[in-house]
Amino acid sequence: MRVDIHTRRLNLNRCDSIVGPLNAHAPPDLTGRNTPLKVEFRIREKRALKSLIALLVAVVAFGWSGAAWSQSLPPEVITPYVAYTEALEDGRTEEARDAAREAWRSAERAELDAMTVATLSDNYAGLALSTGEYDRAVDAYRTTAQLLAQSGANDYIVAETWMYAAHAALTGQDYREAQRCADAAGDIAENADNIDADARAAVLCNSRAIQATANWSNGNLRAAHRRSNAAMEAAGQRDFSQNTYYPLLTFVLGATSTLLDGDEDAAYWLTLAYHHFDAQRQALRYWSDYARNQLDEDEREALLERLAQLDLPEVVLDEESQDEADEAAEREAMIASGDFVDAVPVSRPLPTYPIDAAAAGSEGTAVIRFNVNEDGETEDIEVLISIPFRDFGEASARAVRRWEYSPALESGEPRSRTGMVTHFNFVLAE
Amino acid sequence: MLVAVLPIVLAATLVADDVIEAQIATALEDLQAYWLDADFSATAEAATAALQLTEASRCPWRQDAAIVSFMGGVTGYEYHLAAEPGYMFWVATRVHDRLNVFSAPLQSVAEARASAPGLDISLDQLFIDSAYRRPTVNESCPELQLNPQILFAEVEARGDAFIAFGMPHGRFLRRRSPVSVVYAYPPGAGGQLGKSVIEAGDWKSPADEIAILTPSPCVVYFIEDSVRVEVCLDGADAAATQ
Repeated sequence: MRVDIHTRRLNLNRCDSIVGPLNAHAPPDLTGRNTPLKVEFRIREKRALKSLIALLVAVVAFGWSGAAWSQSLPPEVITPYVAYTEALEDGRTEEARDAAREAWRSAERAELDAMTVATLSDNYAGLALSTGEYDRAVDAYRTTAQLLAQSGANDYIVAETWMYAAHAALTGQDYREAQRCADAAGDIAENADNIDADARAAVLCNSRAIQATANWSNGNLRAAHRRSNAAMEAAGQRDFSQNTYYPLLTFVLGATSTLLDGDEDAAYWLTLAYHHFDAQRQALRYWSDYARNQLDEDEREALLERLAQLDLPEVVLDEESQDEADEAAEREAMIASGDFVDAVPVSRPLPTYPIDAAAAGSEGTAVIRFNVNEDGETEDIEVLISIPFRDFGEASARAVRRWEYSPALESGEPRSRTGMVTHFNFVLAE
Repeated sequence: MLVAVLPIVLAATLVADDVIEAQIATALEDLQAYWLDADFSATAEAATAALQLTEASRCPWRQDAAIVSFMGGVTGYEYHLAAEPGYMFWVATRVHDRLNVFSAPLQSVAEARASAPGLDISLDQLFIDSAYRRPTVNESCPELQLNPQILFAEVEARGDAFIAFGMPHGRFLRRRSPVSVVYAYPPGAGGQLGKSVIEAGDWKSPADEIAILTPSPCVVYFIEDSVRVEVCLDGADAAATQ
């Protein structure tokens, strides 16, 4: 029996290009409620035509000739492989995954050539990743990368496969493994002499981004900051803004710059995050405005110069954010025209540093929104942003609960004041 | 070949300049008409359109731009949908700084309400695209079309007004330094409503040197001890209540 073996890898949203149609994963929860952050892939069901396209693209991508993909295989490999292709085309993803695994393992036992085994392990890895078997996906991608290297495959393909392993580990919250795999990808990209500049930049950029995300998820904001900067530097002058990781990196850099670099960088990155993140726009705007208000005239002009170098996407606010923006604009107009006297703080005790975070050496930041009622008490306290852990938001909210205000006045009468926002940085002494 | 093409390119550029200048002239005529009619909403939109055309012209730094943007700021302050008043007033100050268009009171009103580059994220693109961030005064700009005195033209109030009060010490509460009308549009509104405001007593307002009321036709504000004052354009309903 003669069977053509091909990879299904291209079913995945790829992160292999600086410029690509990627914005697949959901924006992270910025409130720390669901930390650590996860970067998720989504697999799309493909039908026969798409599979054919995938095959053609895969052959080109791997740089192998079509003839190399065809060979006589033992029945213990052919049978599960055929089952895999049929299940995949019928949309039975989990059955396809199990069959793919069986084909891969059988090929290993049969001691087939490294390229064939790599192709089969890669098929399984993609399905394992998409069905939540992250550890197994990491193992399979790792095997694939090693076999590809043995086979003398192009270094870019090997590096890319390590990147997939890193993605899988990151998604499975195995941050150490994510770091290791991303390191492997980055090392290959840095040292290989057969990778062109764009591909090298893509691998370096993405591997640093994965490491930044892993650092971020572990609460190591300083390392996340360094890695995020490294990712941006690797991109150089290339347009990185469509990459999956770009919104997250802008946010990480915005958040960490408030702690480490100062308000000029914070304002810049938070502005980019505001433009590129799909969620939490109002919170990001509050935060960006906060940073901007710390700048002097020259620094704000410099900020605008930096922003002018970019093609900022137009922001379309969702209904809730638009309502908030309208409400804020209306309030500002009322205050400016004398119709409304804003609430004035009387007592604002600071939050205590979360013990667990301090013990873990973790620094963080939180943005809190709250209302002030007619008695000058705070209420409806909401954690807009708490990074990297929820503890910072909770500690901040506890402090704000004790704050006291002289209430806002409208028509001479005390009125509740909505939409107050404040911001705390938690920094450990050197 | 190049010698033959160059005059064509130059001619095309000149034609384009003429077209845009004609569009600006029309936009300014519309703007004047709306302004003299005290139609705030239409004026705000027309000012935005006229300023956009002026910015796109080869000569954005002209005195008309200051007057247009001042009008846009005054009327957009209430109707900030069409004109971003912070940006408009900033343009007014920028052009005034170079071309000395305004009297001191008008300058103080524009400065008091001007935004600045990089201050507000929602204005970033306006500032990034602005022709007024870098002075490039073109000596051959068209003649002034709008007379600055139009900002003080006697027009009949139609329900909206912009009144800027000077707050001499720039503090919340003033016991000895009464407020005064710095600028009003329509000017008659300053007389009617300004008198009521000044008589009502010490003003509780933001800590600015210029405070602005935009009655349409009434407005509420507060004086010392949170006394609520309501004033209206016709002056008939102004009343103070504790």
